[in-house]
Amino acid sequence: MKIFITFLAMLMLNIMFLIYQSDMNIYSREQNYVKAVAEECAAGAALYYEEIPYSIGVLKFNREEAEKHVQYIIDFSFEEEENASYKIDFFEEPETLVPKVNVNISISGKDYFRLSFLTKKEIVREASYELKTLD
Amino acid sequence: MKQFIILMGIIPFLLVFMMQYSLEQQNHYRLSLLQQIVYASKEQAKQDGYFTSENVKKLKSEIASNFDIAESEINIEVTSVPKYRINAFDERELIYYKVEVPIYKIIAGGKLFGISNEDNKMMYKIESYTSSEKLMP
Repeated sequence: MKIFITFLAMLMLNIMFLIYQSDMNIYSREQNYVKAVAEECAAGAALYYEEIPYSIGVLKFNREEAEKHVQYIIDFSFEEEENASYKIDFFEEPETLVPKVNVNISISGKDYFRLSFLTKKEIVREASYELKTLD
Repeated sequence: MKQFIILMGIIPFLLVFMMQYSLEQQNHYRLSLLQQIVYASKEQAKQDGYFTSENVKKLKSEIASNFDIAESEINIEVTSVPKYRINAFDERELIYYKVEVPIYKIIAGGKLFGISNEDNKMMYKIESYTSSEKLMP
C-alpha cells in the first residue's frame, strides 16, 4: 500500500509538471505573439503623418489614420473573448527630437494556466517605433 | 520478484513522462523558431512591398530544414503583388501573410494511449497583415 501511495504521488507530480510545462510554453509563445502585434501596430501607425506641418519641416503623426490601422490589426489578430485593448501614445516635436509611437496592448480573459494554484489572466506588451534621421 | 515484475510493467508508462517532456520542449523550440523566421521574412516584405519569390523560397527552405519536413508540406499564402506606403489607411494596401506548418507528434507514445497518428498531429498557423514601407514610384 505504501508503494502504491508513493506511486500515485509521483504520478500526480509528473502530470502536474507536464501540464505546467505545456501551459508555460503556450503562455510564452502568446507573449511573443502579442509583442509582435504591438510592434506591427506601432510600425504601421508611425507611417501616417500630417502633410501640412510636414511641409514646413515639423513631423506630426496623423492620429486618426494611425488609430484605424491599429484597430484593424488588433481586430484581425485577437478573438473577441480575448478582450484586447490598446493605448497609443505619440511623441513628437517639440517634446522630443526623435518622434515615436508607443503601442501598449493588453489581452485578458481566459486563465493561461490550468493548475488551480496558478493564475495568469492577462498579458500586457508594449512596443515603440522611432523615426530616426540617417546620420 | 513480484515487485520486479510490476516495475517492468510500469516502466514504459513512466518513460512516457520523460519522452513527453523532451517532445514538448522540441515542439516549443521549433514553434518559437518559426515565429522568428516568419518575423524576419515579414520585415523583408515590408521593405520590398510584398513577399518576393526569393523571400518565399528562403522562408520555405529555412522552415523545412528546421522542421525536418519537405517544402511541399508547408502551406504559404502571401501577397505577391507590390503594395505601397500611402498616407491614409487602406486595408487593400496591407501585405497579407499566412504560414502553416505541420507538427507531426504532439503526445509522446500516442499509440500506448490509443491515439492514432492522424489525431496526434496539428497544423500550426501564423497569419497576419503588415504595412508596406515601399514608396510609390
